[in-house]
Amino acid sequence: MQAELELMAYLDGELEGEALESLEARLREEPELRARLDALLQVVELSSELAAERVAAAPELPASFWERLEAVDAERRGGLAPVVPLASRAGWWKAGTALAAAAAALLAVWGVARSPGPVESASGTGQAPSAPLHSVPTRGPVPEEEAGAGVAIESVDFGSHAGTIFVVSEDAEEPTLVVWLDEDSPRTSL
Amino acid sequence: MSKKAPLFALVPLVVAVALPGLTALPQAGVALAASASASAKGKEQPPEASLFAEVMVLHATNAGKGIDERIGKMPELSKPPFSSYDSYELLSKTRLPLIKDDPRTMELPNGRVLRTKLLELLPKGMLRLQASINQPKGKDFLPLLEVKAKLGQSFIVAGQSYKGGMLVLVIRAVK
Repeated sequence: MQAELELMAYLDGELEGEALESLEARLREEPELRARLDALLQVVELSSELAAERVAAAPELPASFWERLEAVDAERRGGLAPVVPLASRAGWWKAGTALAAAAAALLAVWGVARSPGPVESASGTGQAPSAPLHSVPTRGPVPEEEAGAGVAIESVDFGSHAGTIFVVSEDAEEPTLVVWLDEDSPRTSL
Repeated sequence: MSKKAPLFALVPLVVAVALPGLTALPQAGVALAASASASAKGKEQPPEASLFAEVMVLHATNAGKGIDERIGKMPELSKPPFSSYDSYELLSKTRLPLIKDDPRTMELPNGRVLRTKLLELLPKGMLRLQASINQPKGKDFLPLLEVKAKLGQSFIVAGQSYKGGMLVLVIRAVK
């Protein structure tokens, strides 16, 4: 989970000095970590596309939010260039009402530390790829915005395992919702 | 389907009564008999499913074999985190009938049981579907998952360890 928090802080532009240099060095050297960041950025990209369609529906968002979102998108397309910090968490949470699907999933990642209830966490193990995109309550309704366009999760119970929900495939007409349970990692609470 | 059968069985009777001047009585009698027969058959036969949960069971490994052609087009498999595996083999492709409140099960290669159930049909080609993965005499892997899905749109349940790799279930509702 520490790696996820670091990546989130990185995307938030909150890492500085040695921490920033260390993470960037790890990103260059560790393909798996880079894959995690790519997955997060993929979600950001999806949210960017959705956001572009919903500007009119969310006029209260500051212009800087959209500018930074576009900057992230541009950096994503540019390959391994450093990530431009996103808007503040407060901005993301406001945007949560306007962005759908993947955007909301990403917001949930940012909001993990604020979650009052038990949460799931995901971590890579052995050969299993990590899918550290977002955490959801153990049981109960999941906001519809957290799903792909064609599939919305209404309720999920991960049981005793750690689990995540995210979307993949920017090339497809509609993103595919993935429910990922880590069999080797027991559920932990923050 | 089971609710439709009795209504459908009444059609011959309605047609017969709506033809005044003809030999309505015998026709009505025949219609009644046909109606009763159809109704009885409707009760005996289980409801037929018009929708199915298509379940593809994939085995993800790093065996260097690439993606099984039988899987079809799935760009998701070449993207993180699925791209951490270089081989995806189709182990099975099963169609489970989706009938409201009538759960269906299938055994997974690791001995667990996937259970699917149609909860509700919704407008615009949407439906509510329940799925769970249970371990007989063991811990449940995914005790409960309820989704609202569009016909034809897949979702993926991944993460079960299996033979040095991982099982990936690709589930979608189809006609």
